[in-house]
Amino acid sequence: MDAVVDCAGQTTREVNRELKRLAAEGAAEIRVLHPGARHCLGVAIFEPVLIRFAGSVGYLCCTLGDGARFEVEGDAGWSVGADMHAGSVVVHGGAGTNVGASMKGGSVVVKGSVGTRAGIAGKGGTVVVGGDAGYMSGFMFQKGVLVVCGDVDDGIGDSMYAGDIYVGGSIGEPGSDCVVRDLTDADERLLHELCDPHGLGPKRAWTKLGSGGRLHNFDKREFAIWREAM
Amino acid sequence: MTDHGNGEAVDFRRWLHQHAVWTPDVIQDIQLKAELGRYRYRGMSTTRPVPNMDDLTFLPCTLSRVPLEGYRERCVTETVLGTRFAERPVRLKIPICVVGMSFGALSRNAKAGIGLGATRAGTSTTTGDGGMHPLERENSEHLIYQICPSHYGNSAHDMASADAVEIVVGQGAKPGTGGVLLGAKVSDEVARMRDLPLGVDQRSPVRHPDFIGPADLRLKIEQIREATDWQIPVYVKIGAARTRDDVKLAAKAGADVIVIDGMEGGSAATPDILYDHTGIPTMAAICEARRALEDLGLLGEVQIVLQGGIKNGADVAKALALGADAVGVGSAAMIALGCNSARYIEDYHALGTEPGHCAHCHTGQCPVGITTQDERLIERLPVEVAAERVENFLNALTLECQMFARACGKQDVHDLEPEDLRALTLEASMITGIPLVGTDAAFGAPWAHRMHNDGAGHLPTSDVEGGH
Repeated sequence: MDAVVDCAGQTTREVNRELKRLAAEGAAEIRVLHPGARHCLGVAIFEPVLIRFAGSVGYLCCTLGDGARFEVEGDAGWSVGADMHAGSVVVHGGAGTNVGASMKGGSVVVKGSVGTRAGIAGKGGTVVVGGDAGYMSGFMFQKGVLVVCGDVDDGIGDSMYAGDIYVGGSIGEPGSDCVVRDLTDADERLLHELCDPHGLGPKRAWTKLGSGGRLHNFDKREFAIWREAM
Repeated sequence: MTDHGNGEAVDFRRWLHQHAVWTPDVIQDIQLKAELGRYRYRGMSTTRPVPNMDDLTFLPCTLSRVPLEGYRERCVTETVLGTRFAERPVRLKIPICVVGMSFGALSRNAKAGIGLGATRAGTSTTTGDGGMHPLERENSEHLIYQICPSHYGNSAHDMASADAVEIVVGQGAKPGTGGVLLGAKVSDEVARMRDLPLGVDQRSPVRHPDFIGPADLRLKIEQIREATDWQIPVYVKIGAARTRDDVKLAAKAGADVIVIDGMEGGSAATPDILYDHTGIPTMAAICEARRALEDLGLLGEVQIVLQGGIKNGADVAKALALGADAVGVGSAAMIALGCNSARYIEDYHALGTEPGHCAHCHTGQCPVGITTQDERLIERLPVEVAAERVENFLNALTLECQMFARACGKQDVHDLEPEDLRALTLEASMITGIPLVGTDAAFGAPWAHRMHNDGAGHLPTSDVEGGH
């Protein structure tokens, strides 16, 4: 029988302590009741436990993890999955800004749409957005993969150092030094691998984006791109 | 040639004009930018003179008060930081810490040497923008773990192994702008730790990727506490600008310790125009910080670490007297390591400089092996030698600070207070509220009434209620 933690009547500190205790004792799955869009739930959990939130979570949830797997049955606030090393987060609804911020590994999947700056400063792992993503998604992306099945607003991939971004819908004005790359068979396979298990993104006309490398080292002959950087 | 009629020949072709605006430095600056097509970078800190703690002097005990024996009587230096919420505050033997400087900006030997020297002196050192190097953790008994806006090398495991976490909002050298590490220093190891392409000019963001602004900072602090089980203190580091407001916001967000980095704060690479034209001096910043905590009734409960140009024991003692609980040294610690020492002179010349004038940290060609990732240069700074010099310097600062405290009759360096000081200049008096020497007048004090009154001497509501 799965373990159950009820947030009702408990502080966030008590809930997190209980999650960590159960995870350390080897619980395979924990169901968390009444999360109530509370902030900072499921922080820095290093065991390969599956934690299911029966509702929505607030800011900075499922962050700093290394191995834990999370499912959010509702929506998530800002920065879900931020700074994760390994593990996974699946959000069944939508999510706020900064999805998977500065992630180093693992995967974050948001089935709905997300706010601005999805995948900001990504350092590895994969972020998959089933719906649309807002302004400046993939800003200063360093490593890893960002997939947006729907549309993206202006500034996608602005100042990205490296990594790959895939967009299934329309693209606003791309960010500084974000360039279109050829989509290969390997890219198509990767997209199926990332999206199919979640029923996302079938039959999209994918666009692949990457860094043009012109912002890697200053060149006075490229002055315009530095002045106009978003 | 002409003749003034007195037989002396004057050669007007050799008249050397003394321009007030177009000084040789300004001319060189413009001509360099005309070649570079960008702003200039350099290391170290601002070159302009700003009001500083040299404009204050101590009033030691004479007949009216009794001093302690300066060289021998007991004078406590133990310092505890992070007493507000953390289970395990940082307990140091001296009120002097080493500030955050990144592995990447500094060589691994410099980081390890600073850690070991600080450990032997009984104090803490701090990571930096780029993550925790294993050698640094190994050599540092008290290690403060910085979370910088870049989140380079950010790890919950490293956080858990730290003695405190410091959320960096900004730095004194360039508040409002992120860090820089030019490609020459982005070596294999640095690139790997930061997840960056090799050799890229790394220009760090100034905003954190996962939170924005003071309301979010409260949540960020909560997240760090949950990640570390409320065991260790959370510091918030702020580049000194609107310090009074910023300190209130950080304190209300739940910081245990607030680190204030003044305008004289150093950097291994900063656009030089920012050094000289942003932020407020360290002396002004501590005065604003103290007033902010007094406004909130949190003075003493939230500790202040003051950094930015702290160079000797007088600065340490004056900082404590003005309200700091501890100070941080960065540039001074590097100089203790041998920065700008007169060795490998030919390498200074190759950089176009001389010992005593070098600020070429950004090039990665540090002649003495401190701010470099070049193995040939790193070898010039053995860890043990570095550690001994840092320890000696920290010990010397401590002894100097104790002398001032004893001369002022204080058995604990933390008992130094504004009343122990007098201002040597009008501007120092106005900034600090400390009387000018030879007068009883504290020009500019009380600051709150002068700066924020409504014309009838009433404080605005925000001040009465603690602001914000």
